[in-house]
Amino acid sequence: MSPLEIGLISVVAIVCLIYIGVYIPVALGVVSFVSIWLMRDNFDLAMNLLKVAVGDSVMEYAFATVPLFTFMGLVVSKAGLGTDVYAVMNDLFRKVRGGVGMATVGANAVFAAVTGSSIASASVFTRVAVPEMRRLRYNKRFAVGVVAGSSVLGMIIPPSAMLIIYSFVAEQSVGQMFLAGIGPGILLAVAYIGAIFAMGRLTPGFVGGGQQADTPQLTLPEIAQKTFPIVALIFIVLGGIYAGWLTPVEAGAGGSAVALVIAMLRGRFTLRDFWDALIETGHITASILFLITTASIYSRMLGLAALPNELGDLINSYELGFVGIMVVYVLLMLFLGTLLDTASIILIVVPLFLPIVEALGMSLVWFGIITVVGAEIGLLTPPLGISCFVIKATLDDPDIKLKDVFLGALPFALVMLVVLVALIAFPWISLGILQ
Amino acid sequence: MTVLFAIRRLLYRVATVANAAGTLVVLVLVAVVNFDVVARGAFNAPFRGAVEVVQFSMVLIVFLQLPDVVRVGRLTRSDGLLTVLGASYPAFRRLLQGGIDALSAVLMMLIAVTTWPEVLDAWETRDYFGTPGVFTAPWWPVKLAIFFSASMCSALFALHVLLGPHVPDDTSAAGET
Repeated sequence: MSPLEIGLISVVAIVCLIYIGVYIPVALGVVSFVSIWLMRDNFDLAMNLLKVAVGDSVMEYAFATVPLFTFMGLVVSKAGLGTDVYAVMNDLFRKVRGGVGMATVGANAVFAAVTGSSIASASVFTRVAVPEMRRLRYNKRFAVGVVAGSSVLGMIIPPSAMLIIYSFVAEQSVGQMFLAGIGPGILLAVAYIGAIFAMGRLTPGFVGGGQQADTPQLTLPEIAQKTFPIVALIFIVLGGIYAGWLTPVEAGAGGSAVALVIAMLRGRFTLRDFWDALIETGHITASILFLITTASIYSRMLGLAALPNELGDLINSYELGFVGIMVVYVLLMLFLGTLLDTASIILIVVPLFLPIVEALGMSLVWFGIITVVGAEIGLLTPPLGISCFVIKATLDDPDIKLKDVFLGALPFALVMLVVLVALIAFPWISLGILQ
Repeated sequence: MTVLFAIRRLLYRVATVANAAGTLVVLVLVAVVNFDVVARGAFNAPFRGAVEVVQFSMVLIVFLQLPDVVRVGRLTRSDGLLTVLGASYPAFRRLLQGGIDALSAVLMMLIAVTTWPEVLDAWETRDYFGTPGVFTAPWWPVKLAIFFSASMCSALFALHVLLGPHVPDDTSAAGET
C-alpha cells in the first residue's frame, strides 16, 4: 500500500472507531501510530513521534487559556451570574410575543462572553428558562428548542474552547480567533431573535405563550446590580484583548481572579463550590489537552502521507472554484456533525483542508469561524446533538422527549445554516474587527 | 480477584491525590499570571519566568489530572451507539467496552515506554528549559509527570478490562464480585 492509501484508510478508520465509542484521543493516537509505523515500516520512528507529540504539545503557552477560561466560566456559573443576566433580559423583552425566548437568546449571548462551553450554557439555561416558559404556557418544543439553539452561542462568542482548539490546529493566534468570533456571534444572536419574532407572527402555535411575563418589573438599581459584574468581566477579558493590554492567557487569569472576587462578594459561593470548580477545571483541561496532543500525532501522520496536498490537487482538478469547495466543505461538516462532536470534527477535518484554503488565498481566521459554526450545527441535529442530550438530561421532565428537543431545535439549526452562508459570503463580518 | 480490587483501590487513591495536586496548580497558574500582569503594569517589574512557569504548570495540570479523568470515565468520546446497543445487547456492549479499554491501555503503555528513557536522560544531564540567566526550569519533573500519568492511565484501563467498567466509589466496587 502507498502512504497515501494508508493515510486515507486511517482517516476513515478514525471516524469509524470514534463512532463505535472509542475514546477520541485513543482513536486518533492508535490509528496514527499504526499508520506511521506501516507507512515508514519503522516502529522506532512511530515511537519517537509519539514521544515528541506528547512531550511538546502541552508545553504551548497559549494553552493556558483552556484552564483559565474554563475556571472563570465555572466560577461565574456557580455564582449565579447567568440567572441574573436572564432576569434582566426577561425584563427587556417582556412586552413581545416570544419575549422569554428572546430573553434566553440574549442572556445566552452575554453569558457566552464569559464562558467557553455550549454545554455549560445549555445546562444553566435549561434550569432557568425552560420552567419559566412552561409556566407562561409556551410550547414545550419551542421552549427547549430556544435553549438548545442559543446554547451554541457559547462556542462561537469568545472565549470559546473550540476557537482555542482551532487556533492550535491552524497555527493562528488565539487572540485574533477570539476577536473574529464576536461579529458572527452577535449576528447569530440577532438572527435568532429575529427568527423568534417571525415565528411569533407566522406560527404562533409553535411558539405558544399568550400570557405576558407577570414578574414584577425590575428597578434601575436592580438592573445595574445584576448587570455590572458581568459587564465588568466582559470589559476586562475582551476589552483587554482587543486593546492589546492583555494576551489571551493574561485575560483568562485576570478574568478568573475578578470572577472569584465577584463570587465571594455575593456570598453565594461556598468553599465546596470553589473546590468543585477547580476539580472540574482540571478534568476539562486534561481531556481537551490530551485530545489536542493526540491530534498533533494525527496531523504529523497526515503530513507523512502527504494527504492534505493530494486532496488539494484532487479538488483543484475538478475546478470547483470557491463556491464549489465551500459547498463540499459545508456538506461534509453537516454530515460529520451527525456522527462526531465539534472538537473531533475540527481536529480531523481542518488539517486536511488547510492547504486548499491557503491556495484559495482565504484568511485562516475566517476559515476557523466557518469551521466552528458549521461543525456546531451538528450539536443541534440527531443522532448526536450533544446540546440536545444535555438539555434532556438536565430537564428530568418525562413530558418532554428527546424527539421534542430535536424538533424544537430544528428551526434554530436552519437559522444557523443561513448565518453560516452569510459568514462565507461576507468574510468582513468575522474579519472587520481585526482591521 | 481480591488482589486486583486492592490494587484498584490503591490506584484510585493515587489518582485522586494526583488530581488534588494538579488542582492546586490551577490556582498557582491564576496567581502567577496575575502577579506578572500587576507587577508589570503597576510597578514596571515583570516576573521574568512567567512563560516558563505557565508552561510548567500546564504539564502538571494535564498529566497529574489525566489518571483521574480516566478513573471517572470522562475521557472525550461519543457514546451514542454504545448507549443504544447497550439497551438491546448488554453482553455485546460489555465486550466492545472491554476492547476499547484494552486498546486505550496499549496506547498509554506505549507512551509510558517511549517516555521512560527521557526521564532517565533528563535526570542524568540535569537539562533545563527557559533562558539561562533569566529563568530556567529542569526538564525531569516534566518527563516524570508524563511517565507517571501514562503508566497510571494504562494500569487503570487494564483494570477496567479485568474488573468491568468504572464504578464511582470503592464500596460498591467491592459488592460487585
